[in-house]
Amino acid sequence: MKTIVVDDEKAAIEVFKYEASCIDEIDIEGVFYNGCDVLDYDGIRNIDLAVLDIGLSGQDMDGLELGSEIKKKNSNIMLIYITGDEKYAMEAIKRDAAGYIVKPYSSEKLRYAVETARLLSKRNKKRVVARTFGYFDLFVDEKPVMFKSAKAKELLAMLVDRQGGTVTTDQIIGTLWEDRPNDVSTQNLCCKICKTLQKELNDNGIGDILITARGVRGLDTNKFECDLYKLLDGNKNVADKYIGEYMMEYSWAENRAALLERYLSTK
Amino acid sequence: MDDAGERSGTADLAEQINCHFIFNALNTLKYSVITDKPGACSLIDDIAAYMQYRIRAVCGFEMVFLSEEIRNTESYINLEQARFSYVSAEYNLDDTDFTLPSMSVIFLVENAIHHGLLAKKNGGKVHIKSYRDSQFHYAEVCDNGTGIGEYNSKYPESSNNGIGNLAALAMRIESMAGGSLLVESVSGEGTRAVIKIPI
Repeated sequence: MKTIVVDDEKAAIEVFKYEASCIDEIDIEGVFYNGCDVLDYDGIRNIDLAVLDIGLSGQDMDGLELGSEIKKKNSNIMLIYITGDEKYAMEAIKRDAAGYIVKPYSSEKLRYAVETARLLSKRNKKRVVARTFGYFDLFVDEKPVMFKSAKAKELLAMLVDRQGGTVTTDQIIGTLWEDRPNDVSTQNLCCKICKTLQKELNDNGIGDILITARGVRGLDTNKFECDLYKLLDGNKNVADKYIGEYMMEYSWAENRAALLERYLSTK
Repeated sequence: MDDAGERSGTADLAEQINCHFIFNALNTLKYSVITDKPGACSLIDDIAAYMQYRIRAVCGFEMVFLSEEIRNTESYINLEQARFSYVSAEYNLDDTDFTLPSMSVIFLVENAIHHGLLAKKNGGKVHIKSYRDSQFHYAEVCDNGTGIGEYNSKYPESSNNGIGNLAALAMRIESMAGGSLLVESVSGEGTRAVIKIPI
């Protein structure tokens, strides 16, 4: 689990790192001494677990308040509180903590809390499926996502087609608006559609599948299933279901369809 | 005693012994051991000294010499400094040859650190002085923290250990030593607490 840890004491952070080092599930992605820095941290959407100290001295909010704020940014994140004091346990549980550990603690106690968090997070996780055979659709917990913007949906299809590879603004324009000149107004339009897609995904609680960095975009393919990927992975059952129809509504997808034909005929 | 009464009695005791402070100190000790820091042994001594002194006080406050109170205050401050390196302390002790209720200075230092210094973003200093004039012995604890006015507890039940104790401390100083406690606090500048014991 991608993990961040927040404590105002260096010693406490080092002890956590030490105990966490023998727990395979924990991947420490970030260490913070200040709650405000966590709320400024863009990567928070991709974090699975936040381990928080409660008494954050001299800061605007305590760990419990910080936990609530983090949940607003990433509703799927699991929270484990580590504190020197038992008296906040009730409050932590009321706020949906996955675990509550009193310092000092053994790695066994930490392991138990992390295991609980892992199981809860599995339960909470939305099942996201991208279907590319026939027409393109995205399903969240078996229900199709009703995209308000057809272009945003097409952009998502293009990113699915790239299998986690990144695309630049120019590549998006070349594919989605092949008839339009690549000028400022088209670039603005492209930028707007990217934002719309992010918003539509956020509204469906799966904003974390889209990764944006310095003008390039891609999908986190670990976060959803896709028939195309399974087929390319050599899944026989999925290959049998393919009848030559791939993202039928998009003309740019014909290349992939042709490649798939060739790929399957060599098998 | 009924169940609920017993539970709250246990909670009070935990509060009186300052359990969470001890747990945090043990966690810091663990860090010293993990990283092979040379200070681990002296941290153990400080934890032991602090606990002995504190538990003695839970059994009943007694009159102690200021020198003994200061020795234990030093242990307490060492433990806080091991956790929060940005807390510093200065001592000017010109008169230690008088008695006062045990834990008096430690409580004031605790307040200074937790409600004055730690609430400030870059820490600060606690200054412990003792002196006398023709009528009184004085023990003084000053800090350059946020001042008591800034302190406002989000969890009122937890204030037992802090500000709430000043009134109880003042009563102890009066009933056990015939002295008095004066607390002055300026928001944003710090707090000064003076214990006055008649000669």
